[in-house]
Amino acid sequence: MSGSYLYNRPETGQTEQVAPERWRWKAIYQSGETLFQYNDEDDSFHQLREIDQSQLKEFRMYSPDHPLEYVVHFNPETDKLVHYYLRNVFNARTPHETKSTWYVFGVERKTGDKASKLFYKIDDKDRFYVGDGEGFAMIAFEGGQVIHAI
Amino acid sequence: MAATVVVNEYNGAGETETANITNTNMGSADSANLDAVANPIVPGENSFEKWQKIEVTAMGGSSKVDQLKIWRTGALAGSTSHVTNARESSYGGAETYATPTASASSVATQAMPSSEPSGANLGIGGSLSGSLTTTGSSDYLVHQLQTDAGDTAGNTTTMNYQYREVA
Repeated sequence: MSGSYLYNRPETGQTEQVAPERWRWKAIYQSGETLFQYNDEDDSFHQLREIDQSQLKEFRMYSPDHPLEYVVHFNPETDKLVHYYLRNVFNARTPHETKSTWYVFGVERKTGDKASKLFYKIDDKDRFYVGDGEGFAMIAFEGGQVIHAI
Repeated sequence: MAATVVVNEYNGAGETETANITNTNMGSADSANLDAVANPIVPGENSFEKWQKIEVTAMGGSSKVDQLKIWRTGALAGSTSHVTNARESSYGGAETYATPTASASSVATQAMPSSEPSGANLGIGGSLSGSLTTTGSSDYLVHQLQTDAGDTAGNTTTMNYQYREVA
């Protein structure tokens, strides 16, 4: 596993170094192929926009430091993928400054004229939350792989 | 790395920039990285306004930074108020720089939220829905402490911020 990955930004032609996140995604296509956000085979980094959502079957969040893997089952006909980081800086510019990242992912779904959101959040202590786009509620779980079929 | 984000401060009539400030202490001087003990606020008076920006100095592989939220924590002494131009509704757009003043701010006119806002309260490009897709800065964050004559020493107000980053 690399400590640094490379991203070639098409808008600028520049190569940027990207440090790995604690939680990363992988996109599994209907063909069985997988696109890794952080590809250890060639140390490349991929942006979310590189995912071909028309062919997407599953979006998975995983961490090399955590036994669980979270799976979003994706329907290209109704779903739009969402994933972003919430970067927090508490007690900014003080001796007590702390920084943390929360990982948000999920789908915006439109079925007919009905729209809904189902988002998940993993906080900096690896606690897991479910939300509707307006807020989040933490859920409890026990060991083993947690799979959410939504 | 993730996007690199710093806080810059602007002072004086010449809008002198101090990049990546190390503290945001407020006091009786218009100065970045202020020594608050050496520059106390006289009860009944105000701190000098702070004019600051959140700047993304490197995208670090990310495609967008947006939804800036600013809030304060800590215990204000007496009836001191911490006021700002940051707000979730009726946002005034990008402020034009003016020399920081210790008179009651005409820009920072609303209480700084004391918990995380539900939505963005500091804009980018003059809008709360604005975003950065390359390096750049937020609108000015303007804030000030306003004290009462009966207030005693011991104001503690600490800045917190959050932003959304899409990679």
